[in-house]
Order: sequence, then structure tokens, then C-alpha cells
Amino acid sequence: MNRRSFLVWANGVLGGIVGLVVAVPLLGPLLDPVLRKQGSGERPRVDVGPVDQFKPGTVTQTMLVTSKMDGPIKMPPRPDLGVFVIRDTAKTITVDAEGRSPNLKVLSRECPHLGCNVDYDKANGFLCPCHNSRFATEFEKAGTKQEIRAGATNPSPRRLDSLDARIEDGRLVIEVVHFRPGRPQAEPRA
Amino acid sequence: MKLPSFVQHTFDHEIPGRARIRYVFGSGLFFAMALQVLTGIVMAFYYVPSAREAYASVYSIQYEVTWGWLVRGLHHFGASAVVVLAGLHLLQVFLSGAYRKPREMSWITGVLMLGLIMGFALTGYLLPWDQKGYFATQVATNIAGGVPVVGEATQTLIQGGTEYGTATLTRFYALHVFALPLGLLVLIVPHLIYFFRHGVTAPGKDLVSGRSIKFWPVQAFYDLVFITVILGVLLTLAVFVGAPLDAPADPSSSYVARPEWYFLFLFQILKYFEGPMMLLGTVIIPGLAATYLVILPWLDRSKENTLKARWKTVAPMAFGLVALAALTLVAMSEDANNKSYQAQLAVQAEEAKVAKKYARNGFTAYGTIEALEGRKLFRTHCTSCHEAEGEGTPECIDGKCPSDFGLCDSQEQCYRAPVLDHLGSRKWFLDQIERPDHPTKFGTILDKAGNAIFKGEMPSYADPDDESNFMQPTVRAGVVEYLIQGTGRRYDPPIDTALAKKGEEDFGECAYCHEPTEGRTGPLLIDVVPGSRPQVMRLAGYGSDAFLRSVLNDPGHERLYGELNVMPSFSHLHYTQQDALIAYLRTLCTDCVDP
Repeated sequence: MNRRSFLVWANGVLGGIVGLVVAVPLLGPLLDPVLRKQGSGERPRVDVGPVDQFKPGTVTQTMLVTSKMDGPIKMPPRPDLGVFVIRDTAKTITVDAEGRSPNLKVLSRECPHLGCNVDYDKANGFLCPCHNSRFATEFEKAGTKQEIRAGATNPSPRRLDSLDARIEDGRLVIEVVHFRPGRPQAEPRA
Repeated sequence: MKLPSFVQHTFDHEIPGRARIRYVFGSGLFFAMALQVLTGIVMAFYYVPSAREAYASVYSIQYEVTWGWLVRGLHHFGASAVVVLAGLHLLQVFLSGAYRKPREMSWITGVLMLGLIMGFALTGYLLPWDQKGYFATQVATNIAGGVPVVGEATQTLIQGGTEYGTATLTRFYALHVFALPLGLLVLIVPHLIYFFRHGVTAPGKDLVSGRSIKFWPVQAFYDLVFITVILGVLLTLAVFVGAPLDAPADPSSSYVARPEWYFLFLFQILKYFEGPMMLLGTVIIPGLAATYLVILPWLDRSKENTLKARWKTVAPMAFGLVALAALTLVAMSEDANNKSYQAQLAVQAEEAKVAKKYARNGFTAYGTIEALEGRKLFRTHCTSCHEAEGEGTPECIDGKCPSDFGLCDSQEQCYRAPVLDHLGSRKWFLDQIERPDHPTKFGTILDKAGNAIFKGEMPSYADPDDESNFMQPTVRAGVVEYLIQGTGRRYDPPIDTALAKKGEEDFGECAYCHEPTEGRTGPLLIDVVPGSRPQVMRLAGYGSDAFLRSVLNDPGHERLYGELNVMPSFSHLHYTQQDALIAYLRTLCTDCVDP
């Protein structure tokens, strides 16, 4: 190896080292969101008030309010997830040992298609304003995909996601979960 | 492989004579600035230029983001490296006489870039919005404000208002990451074009030889070795020293600021000029020095290259450098020998440590560290009676409390209200049961007539001679375990529910004066059941946040200390201040695990 080719080789080595030593530390912050465990892993459970505010045979739209970390900042309570509380026509609510009731269903408003918030009104039922996904409103089938009528579309890959809700001391407590849109099955986001 | 033409040009450019170590500074400076750009971009992914969130986001970069401390460390020390390398580069170019015709453009663009580099340093210093950056930059903007006629308007313009706030930060940020880099880009292009056109200024003997070599690979090797050394030094500093982060900016605090070391000479100059003469140190002398550098190519038109032949330009430069070094050294030595400054530094370091300890629990939506704010409030409003963390209890003078308020104990400490260390912990409750009359508890609270209010009101339950009240240690522990349930907090070791259950039964004796906690059917509020004695506190939720808030707002409420109360109400404090005080008091619990 003559002097010139040694220097060319040495330059390559030094350049490589400098490049790596500069690049690698930069990757840490850039990839941080996937490297670091996000959130506490605990799902917040939100008290939405006395269960008897939800009248028989109604669909009620409400919101779940949580306090979250926004980076290093502890945010005060803010709306986190919109939900529908659906009650069957039975006059009374029965509750099992775990606090669950067969008379109530709670659905996430996040459309399983691409995550827009689904609207509800008596005329149209559950309808996503973005891409027209439609879901059944009758208590028995609540949240299942509605059959496609002639000329209509229904791009949602699955039914509206239901949330775990329990009645504690007469109050409805709902677990906050965001599901990944676009998947055929309901998968919680982290 | 075909390289882009400017890279090819860089590789092929001719160096007269031979490769020399003295030519490495330009490359080294270029590398250091490139490193600043890269690390700066990465930090911009996290940094928030807002007076509320800047500190929190820098704290997050430093202590939460993966390798954020490393990138910030490289950027912090990289800034010093840029200044040092710019200085060395300028000096080398000056010594070799390379500022003269035909290289004037390279020189002037270089001098202007040096100005921009100082701008980077000045604007970057403020961005963390910590004490050091805040107070040091105040000095700089006040200097701008001191300039006659245009000063005030200039300062208002720089700050985005008459005082510091988010508008200041967004301006400094915009300058630091957009305007100044753009200026650098505009200047570095002609700087390099002229450099490649004229090449390095080789010493005479290299020119005489008539030989020349290409940049690649020998000079490139020298440059790369130098760059590797720079990177090695920066990495070592970033890893083993680390970028500093002070406590968050607090305009009301007594913080003694110093600029970064490379601005110390300017700082030192300020000490020598009094009153209206200040302008001499702040504007005129630095302005003359800058002007001298800019017009240097026209001052020195000599063809000779030896320093001796150029003494007319070399002498002022040498004088300037000696003055700069001397001012820096004098500034450093004055600080090193200044005992009160050194003591103040220790206080400031401690404040920073405390701030960062509390910051682990997160920042409020206002960007404040709640317990830190609470600690400041406590030391402002509460330590005239209460003590915590060693603050608040004065020494007695001749066996008497200062201003005759409070009682002196055998240790010659003046106590006036309960010491709040351990508040909410098992130790706190146990002490309350075992020695309620102790000076650090309720024994020294005096009414307006100077009589001890609570003295003997509650007996000690740990006195074996007092058969009617004595409780076995296990019974006391049980009662404590029962009572800490009322704070609503989590403990390490966790609450022993079996022991607490037992304690609930034994608490029956205390219920005569203090009613027990309600179950968690509702909020833990304080409630009083009228007893046969004067109003006494019921222990429902004692030590809880709600309890502390009640005490702050209305300590004389019948559910609390009633007619016996001597504590003033703090209901005039904003609710965020009360939150902060409570957050601080929560940190005093020594066996709680929920901050």
C-alpha cells in the first residue's frame, strides 16, 4: 500500500467514523416516539354521571373527559373521546356482579373506517360524515354495519367499536380506548 | 463514479507547495457549524418557543427524549466550538495575510459571519427560558436599550414588547433558526466561491517552490483528523459534562447571571464605564473593533507577507487580542475570588436541582413546575410561622423568639406553629399521637395574649405513666395505618388494610374528639361533629388535598381549628397558587409514592 492509497483508505475510515458518530445520536430523538413506551399503559375510566340520565329506548351522545400528559405537560381535563350510550326499552336497568348491564351499550364515535366522528340523528341513524359509513341503531344490532342499499356505499371494515362500561354506585363509568381504524378487527391503539 | 462538480472541485483544488496543518481551521469550522445545524434541526422537533412551554420542552429534551441530552450536549458545546474555531480561523487567516487583495470578499464575508455567529450565541442562550439565559439576555437587550435615540425602540423591537414574554422567545427563535442561518447561507456561498478561486494563502517558500498538490487526499486527511478531534472533544464534553439547564426563569428571583465564557470580555468592559460613558463599552469600542476588522483589507495594502512588514495592522490586532484575553481572565478571576458570587452560584445550582427534581412529576398547563412554585409561595407566605425543609424556624435570641412571637425550645429554636416536614406520612400521624405538645407540633401555638392554646388539650398516648391514655406501640401503629387512609394517597410500604381495620376499632377512643373517616362514598371533606369539648378537628380526610385546601382557605372553620384557630386565611391566593402550595406540601410526605 503506497502512501496515497493509505491516505485514501484512512480518509474513508475517518469520514465513516465522523459520519456515524454524528448520525447515530441524531437518530435517538428522531425515532424517540417509537423507541419509548408511550403513555402509562393504564386506560382511564371516566364517570359520565348517574346512569338514570340515559332514558329507556334512547341513544345519547356524550364525551369522555380525561387528563393526559402532552409531552412533559400534565393537561387539565379535556375531551378525549366521543361516545354513544344506547339503552334498550326495558324500564329498569339490571346490573351483574361486575357492574355490567345488558340494558346498556356504549359505542365509540370514532369511525372504524378512517377515524372521523360518527354522527347520530333519528332520521339517518349512525352515519359517518366523511365517507358515508352507516351503522345500525336498533339496540339489538347497535353499531353493526348496515346493509348497503342500492346505490349507497359503506366502506367501514368493521362495526362501531364498543367500550367497556360498568355501573358503580348508580353511576356509569366507561373505559377510554381508542381503536385503530382500517383494520377488520378492533385493535386498541397501544 | 461521477461526483457532483462542486465536490469534485473541492477534492481537486490546488494547494501551493504542500498540505499544511494550518489550513485545517476552515474545514473544522464548517464541520462544527454543520453539526449545529443537524443537532438544531433535531431539537426543533421538540422545542416549543413559548414562554410557557419552552422550559418544559427543553427539560423534556434533556431528561425524557431518547439521547436528547446527547444531542443537546453536542449543540451546547458545539456553540463554543464554533466560536473558538471561528476565532482560530480568523487568526490564521490574519497571520498569513490572507485578508488582503484579492481575497477581500472572503475576508469580509468571514467577518460578517463572525457577527452572525455571535448572533446565534446570543439568541440561542435565551431559548431554554431558564434563569441563566433569561437574566444574561436581559443584560444584552438592556444594552441595546441604552443606545441614545434609537435604543428604546430597538429594544422594544428585539423583545417584541416592553418586557420579556413569548413574543421575545418567538423572535429569538425565528432569528436563531431561520434568519441567521439564511444569512449564513447567503454569506458562506461567496466566502467559499472566492476561496476556491484564490485558494489558500501559502507561505512564501511554498509559492517559490512552484509545486502544488491537490486537496485530496493529504490535506483532506489533515482536515479529517482535525474534525475527528473536534467531534471527540465535543462528544466527551456532552457525555461527561453535559449541557446545563438552570431552574426555570423567574423574574422576581435574585439570580446573578454571567454570559457564556466567550462573551465575558464584553461583560468585563461594562464594569469600567460609568453612567453615560457606558456607551463607550457597550457600543463604541466593540463597534470600532468590528469596523477595524471589516476595513482591514484596505488598511493594509502591503505586498510583504512577514509580520514585521505588516506591523501597522498586526499591532492593533495583537493589542485587541491581548485585551480580549486579559478582560476574559480578569472577569474569570474576579468571579473565582468573589466569595458571595461563589455562594450565590451554589444556591443557584441547588435551585436548579430542586426544580428538576420536582419537574419529574410533570409541568402544569401553564408550563410551571407546581411544587417549585409552591415552595416559593411557602417560603414567602408560610415560613413566618411554619417550618419545612429547614426553612422557617429562626434562632432564639437570649432565650426569646425574635419579635416575641413563638416559644423557644431547649435547642434555642423558636417555634411558632407545627413544623410541616413529614406532613401526611405515618411519622407525622405517629408524632401527633405520641407528642402533640412538642414544640414542633401544636405545643407552642400562642393566642394573642401569649398563652399556649393547645397545650395539654390532647394528651400523649405514648406515656406509660398515664394509664388512662397509654396505647401500646402496636395499637398506635394501627391507628396511624387507619388514619393515613384518609389522606387519599399511596404509600410505600402500602397501607396494611388488616392493621388499619384493627386501628379503626382502637380509634374509637379518639372519636370522642375526632370523628373517623367516611367510607369513600363521597369526596373526602372535613366534617365536624359537635362534641362536649370546644370544637375539635374531625379527622375525616386529614392530610388530604381537600383538607389542605380547607385549611388554606378557612382554618378557623368549625370543622377545622374553630375558635382556637390563630392561622390567617390564605383565600386571597389564586387557586393555581393554592394548587401549587398543596403540591409542595404533598412532597413533604416521606413515605408517599404519589408525588
